Amino acid sequence: MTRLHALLQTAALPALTEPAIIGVMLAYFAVVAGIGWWASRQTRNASDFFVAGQGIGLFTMTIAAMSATLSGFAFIGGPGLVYTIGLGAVFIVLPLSLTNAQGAWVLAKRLRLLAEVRRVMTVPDAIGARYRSPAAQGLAGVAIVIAVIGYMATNLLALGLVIDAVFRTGLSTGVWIGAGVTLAYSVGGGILAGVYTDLFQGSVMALASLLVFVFVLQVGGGMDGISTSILASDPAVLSPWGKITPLAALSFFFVFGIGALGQPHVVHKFYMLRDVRKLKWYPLVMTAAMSVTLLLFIGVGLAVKALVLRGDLPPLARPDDATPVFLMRFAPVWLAGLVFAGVAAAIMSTVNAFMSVGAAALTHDIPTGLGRRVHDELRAGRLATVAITLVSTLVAVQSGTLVAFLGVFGWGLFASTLVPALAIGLNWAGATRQGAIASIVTGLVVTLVFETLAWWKVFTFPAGVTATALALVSSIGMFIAISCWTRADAPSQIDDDIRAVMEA
Amino acid sequence: MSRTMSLAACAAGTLLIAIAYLSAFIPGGPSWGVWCMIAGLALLCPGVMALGTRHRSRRSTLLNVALVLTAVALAVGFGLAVALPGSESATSLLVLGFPVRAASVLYIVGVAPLFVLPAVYAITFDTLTLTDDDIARVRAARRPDSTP
Repeated sequence: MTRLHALLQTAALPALTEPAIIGVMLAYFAVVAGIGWWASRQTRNASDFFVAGQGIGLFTMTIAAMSATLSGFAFIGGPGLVYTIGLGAVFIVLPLSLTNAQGAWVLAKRLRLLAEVRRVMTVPDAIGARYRSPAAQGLAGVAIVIAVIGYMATNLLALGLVIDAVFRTGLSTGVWIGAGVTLAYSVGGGILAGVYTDLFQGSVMALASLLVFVFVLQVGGGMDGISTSILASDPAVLSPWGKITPLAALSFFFVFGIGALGQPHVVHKFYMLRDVRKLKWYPLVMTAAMSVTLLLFIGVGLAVKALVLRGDLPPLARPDDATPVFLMRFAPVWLAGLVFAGVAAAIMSTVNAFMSVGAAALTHDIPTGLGRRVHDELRAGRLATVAITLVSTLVAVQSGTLVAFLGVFGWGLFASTLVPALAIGLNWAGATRQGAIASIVTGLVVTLVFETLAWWKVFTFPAGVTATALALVSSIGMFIAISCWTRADAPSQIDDDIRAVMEA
Repeated sequence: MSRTMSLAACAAGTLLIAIAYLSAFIPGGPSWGVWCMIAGLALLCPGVMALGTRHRSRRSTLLNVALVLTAVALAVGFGLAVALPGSESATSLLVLGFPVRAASVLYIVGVAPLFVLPAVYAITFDTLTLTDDDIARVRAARRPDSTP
C-alpha cells in the first residue's frame, strides 16, 4: 500500500560538497537575500505584508503560485517515488491537466473580485465574507495554523537535509540555517519579498528541470529507449498504475486534483493581482510553467530505473538518491548546483508562503473568529511569522519521525477544510453557513482522528484508502448534504456585494 | 450546463468516490470499486469546473463541449487502462514512448486537456468569464463603508 507518507523528504541525501555546487548555492542565497532586503524597504502596512498591496503582475503572480505549489518533493521525493512505484507516482502530477483551468474558473475570478469589494487578506476572510460568519472564518484559521505548522516543519526538515548535503553543517544546524534565511526575508518583506523571491526561485526551478530533462533523454536513449529497458526487466513499472493498485493511483488523482482548490498558500495569491482582466492568461502561463518544471519529476525517476536495470548504475541505496545520483554521474557539476539551488528554492518558496498564511491566520482570522481585532496587524504579523517559524523549526528538529505524520495531515487539512466551503461555496448560492461549518469541522475531525489512529497503528487502511481522501470526500459530502438540509437559510446569509461577486 | 446539473454532478461524483473507498473495505476489493472511482472523477472534476463557469446571464456551447469532453477524457483514459488486457512486456507496442495502457492515461487524461482547457478559458474569458459590465456591477455593489 502506498501511503502519503512516501511523499515526504525525511531521509539524508548523499554528500554534494563539490566547490561548484557550493558556489552556485551561495550565489542563489545571495540573490534571495538581495530581493528580501529590497522588499523589506517597500513594505509599509499589513496589506503590503499579507497581499503585496494588490500590485502584482500576472506573470509574477503565476510563477509565485507555481513556486508555492511545488516543494522540494518535485525534485527529490517525486523522482524517488517514480523509481520505486513507477507510473503510479505520476498520478500525483497528472491532475495538472485540469487543475489550472479549474482553479481559474472556480476561484481566481471570485477571489480577485472579492478583493474589489472587501478588504480581504486571507482565504478565511473569503469564507467569513461569503457566509457572514466570523465563526467559519475562525475555524478555517485554526485548521490553517495546525496544518501550516506540520507542513512547514516537513519542508524545513527537507531544507535542512539539502543544506547539510551541500555544506556539511549537520542536520539540526541545516534546519536552523534554512529557517533563518527564509525567516529573514519573510519577516522583513512579508509576501512582497515572497512573490519576488518566488519569481526568481520559480525561474531557477523551471530552468534546472528543463536542462535535466534534456540530459535524461540523452542518457536514457529517448523515451523509447528508457521504456524498452524497463519493459525488458520490470514491466510493472510501466503499467498504467505502476506498482500500486488502480484505486490507490486514482486516489492520488482525486486528492491532488480536487485538493488543489484548497491550498491557501497558493490560492490567496489571486488577491494580489493588479488587474483582474489579466486572469485571462493565468491557466496558460501556469500550465506552461508547471509542465516544464515537472519534467524532472517524471524523467529522472524513469531514467534512473532504466539505467539501474541496464546495469549502468548500481541499485539505489534509497529511492530519494535518484536525482542526486543521476546528476553527479551524468550531468555537469554546474547543472547539479543549479538543481540543488532549485530544490532549496522550491522548499523556501513553499515555506515562505506558509509563513504568510500561518501568520495571517494567527493575527487576523482567529481573532476575528473570537470577535476581536488586532490593532497593529503589520507588527503582529511580523511577530506571528517569527513565532510560527520557531515552533515549526523546533518540531522539525525535535519530533523525529513524527514530522512525517504532521506533514501528511497538513495537505489533508487544507484540502478537506477549505475545498467545500471556499471552492464550492463561492460558486453555489444555495450553500449555507451551517454547511460550511459542518464541512470544516468534519475535515478537521476526520483528518486528525484517522491520521492519528493510523499513525499509532490502531488499524490499517486497505490499499488505496487514506485518511486524507476519506476526510476530503466526507467534508464535500457533508457540505452538500447540510447545505441542502438548511437551504431555507441560504438567501439571508449572502450580502449584496458578495452576491454580485458570485454572479459575475 | 445549469447550476443544478453542475451541483448534481458534484454530488453524484462525491457519492461514487465514497462508494469506491467503501468497496476497498470489502475483502478482495471488488473490481467495481475502481469503476465507481473512475465514474466519480469523471463527474466531480468537470462538475466543479462547471460550477465556476456558469454566468448569471450568458451561456457558451464551446464551454459546455469542453467540459463534456473533459468528462469523456477522464472516463475513456482511465477506463481503457482498466479494460485493456494488462500484458506489458519487452515486446509491447509503444505509443509515443509508453505501452498502450499507460499511454491512454498519460496522453488522454494528462496531455489532451492540458492546453485545451486553458485555451478555452482564454478564448471565452472576455465574452463569458469577465466582461467590463461584470466588473462595473461588482464595483457598484461595493458597500460605502468597505475599504477594498
